[in-house]
Amino acid sequence: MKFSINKEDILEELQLLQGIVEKRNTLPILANILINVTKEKVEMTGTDLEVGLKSHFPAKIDQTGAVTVSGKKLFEIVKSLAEEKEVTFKENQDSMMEITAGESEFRILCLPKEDYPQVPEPRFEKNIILPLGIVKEMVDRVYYAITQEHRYYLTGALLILKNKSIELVSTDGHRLAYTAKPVDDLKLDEEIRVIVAKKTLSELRKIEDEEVEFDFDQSNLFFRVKNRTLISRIIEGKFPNFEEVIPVGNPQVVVVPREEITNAIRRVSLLSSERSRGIKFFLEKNRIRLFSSNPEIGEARDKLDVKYDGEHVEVGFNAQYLLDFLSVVQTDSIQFELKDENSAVLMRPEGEEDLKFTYVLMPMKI
Amino acid sequence: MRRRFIIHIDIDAFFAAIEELLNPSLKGKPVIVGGLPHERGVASTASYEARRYGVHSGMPLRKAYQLCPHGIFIRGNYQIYQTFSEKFFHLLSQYTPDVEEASLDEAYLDLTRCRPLYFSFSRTAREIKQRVEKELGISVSVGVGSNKILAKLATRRAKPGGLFEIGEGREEEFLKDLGIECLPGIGPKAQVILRMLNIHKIGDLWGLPRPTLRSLFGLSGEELFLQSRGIDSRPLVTASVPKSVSRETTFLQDLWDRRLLLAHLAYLCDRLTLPLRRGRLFAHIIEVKVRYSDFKTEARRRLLVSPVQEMGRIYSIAQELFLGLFSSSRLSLRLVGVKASDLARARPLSLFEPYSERSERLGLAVDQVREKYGFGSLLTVREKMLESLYSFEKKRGFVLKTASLTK
Repeated sequence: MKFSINKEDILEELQLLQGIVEKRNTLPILANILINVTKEKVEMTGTDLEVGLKSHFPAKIDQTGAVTVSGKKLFEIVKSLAEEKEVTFKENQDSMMEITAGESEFRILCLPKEDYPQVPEPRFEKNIILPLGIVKEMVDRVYYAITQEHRYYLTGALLILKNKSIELVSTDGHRLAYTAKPVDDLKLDEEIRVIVAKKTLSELRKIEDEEVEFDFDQSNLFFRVKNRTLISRIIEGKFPNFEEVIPVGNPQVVVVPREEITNAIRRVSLLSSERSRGIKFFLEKNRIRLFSSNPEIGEARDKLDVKYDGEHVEVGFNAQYLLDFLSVVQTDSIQFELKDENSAVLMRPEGEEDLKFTYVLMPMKI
Repeated sequence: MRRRFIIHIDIDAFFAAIEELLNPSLKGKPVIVGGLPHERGVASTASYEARRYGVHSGMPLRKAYQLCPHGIFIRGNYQIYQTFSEKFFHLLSQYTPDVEEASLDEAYLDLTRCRPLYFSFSRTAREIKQRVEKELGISVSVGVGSNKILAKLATRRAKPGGLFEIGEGREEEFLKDLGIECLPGIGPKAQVILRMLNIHKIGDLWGLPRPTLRSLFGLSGEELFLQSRGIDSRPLVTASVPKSVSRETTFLQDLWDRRLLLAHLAYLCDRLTLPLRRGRLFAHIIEVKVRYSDFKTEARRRLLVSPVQEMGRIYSIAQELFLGLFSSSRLSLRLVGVKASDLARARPLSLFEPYSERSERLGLAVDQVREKYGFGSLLTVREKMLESLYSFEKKRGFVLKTASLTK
């Protein structure tokens, strides 16, 4: 195997691939990427068994063949080379790969290509094209609410494709983020619902382009942007019935200036308990008071004026959960719809936002 | 400012007292807890009999052995002391919510807010002392004063086993003849300086002007100025959240029977939830520990996004963790333990399980029944299986090998 290519033409691919490969070192070969050189092109594959990325590109090819090498080292080496350099990659007899560029020379250890896990072959038949910019914006709105915990069905977001619309939902059991966007070009005969792994969404965010082609088979999702294809194992299981927990008709409605409330929450949360991050809200006539206390440090209060004439509500929240939502909203004000201290509150950006966006948050007993 | 009413209460020779409680034959003998004579480390407690030989806490064990070669040296079991201490503080918290845990065996109580509840503070202080001594079977020293420093100095006077109250207007008289070493702000260096100035008693300090003290000791000089006059406005530091709560026990003999092991685990979880409920605490981490017959110890923990407090949920997590450890083991076990940590007072509600107070109310009801009829009056079927191994007392539950669990 031997090929040559300009540093700039391969660096970005290596960066994406080394983001995919397994970092925890459970199986050494998962830290490697597979480089397969055919007569026409170079194809590189990285995988952690959940998510895989295949990328191909033209190069000056001298000899075909395949090897696997450490994704991280390969990226670091190429990145360190001088700009505009042509880099040559060559497999040696002694299962080493030689990388040369000008006066620089590296030899790194390869693992046999036969040991590399099979990454499913993507196929694109349904011809579903999604606007990548919009998908990425939607991912930003829901990404933070995907759980860290290993309740498997939740470690991703639910993607719903309908005729002429895209919806994306995430939840960690305490809060839920829902976003929807009409897309006129999207034509589907039947609705598609799949859970997309958190890592796949994060990889999608890194890719720049106008559109992404989407398809899936029984066990995998495929996303293709030009020469790059993401292959993501479908997260099996039932996504919780989210429509049911979005409250309808919460009686106490208040509109709050986004920046002011964000800053007030940041200030008050300085003295909330580090573990729970709990702060208290007092919704009273024409004002909201915020309060937090931590027996080991002290307490904090803040207040802001709002237009409100409903009943008094006293409710606790995880400040971080509020800030997560407030930091991805772009409108000047936020609408809060509350019921009582034990029921979910609904928040949404008030006025113009390009996307439909709803955030549901369960209170915290403090 | 309104006169405050502060009680300082300190268990006499705490660790040694517990060891005597567990083994009454130690009574009246010089007991030194902290380690065996040849071991490294220091004595953490010495009984009053051992103190007569000059042994004191913080002294290296070798030195203690030289001073008191016939002393009884015990390594001690922190777990037992911890559990005992929880009991101590629970009892105190029945008198006022304003309790400061100064250490495992030392507390401040502020009765000021509870003024209307008590006819006489002096009598209440006596009553608390009597109740602690009767219910816990240990001797305590109690000091009463109008702030923390006076109360603590009063305890010093009361030791061992007494009660001393500094009445209103008697502060100067009390402080005047105390040695300067009594004040917490005065370390060995400060003592040397003051003694060179011919200052030996607190009363002698009063002659030094504030700026002089400040130039001698900086900021702590200011403190000294106030302390020496019995002035202390520090509030009690209350309601600190503990780092963790745990329960464990060794078995009478090594165990292999899975059902009996799970029965122990259930019983320990049950014991564990009591302090959680009392402290209104929710745990983000549950950890299970086992020790095999070859003394190898292993633990497994789970980090939870939704914190837990209820016995049922804690047990089901603990059981899963335990079986994960045990099912791969070829050895029998000599110890099992469960620990709840990363504790917080707040609990996030769940979106998909509607909020209900049922489990909290159930927990409280269980506590109330047990308060009245004893811990053993309500047990799960799984826990009941321990009947084949241990003697059972309705009041205290099962008498496990590790005594701390049975009180």
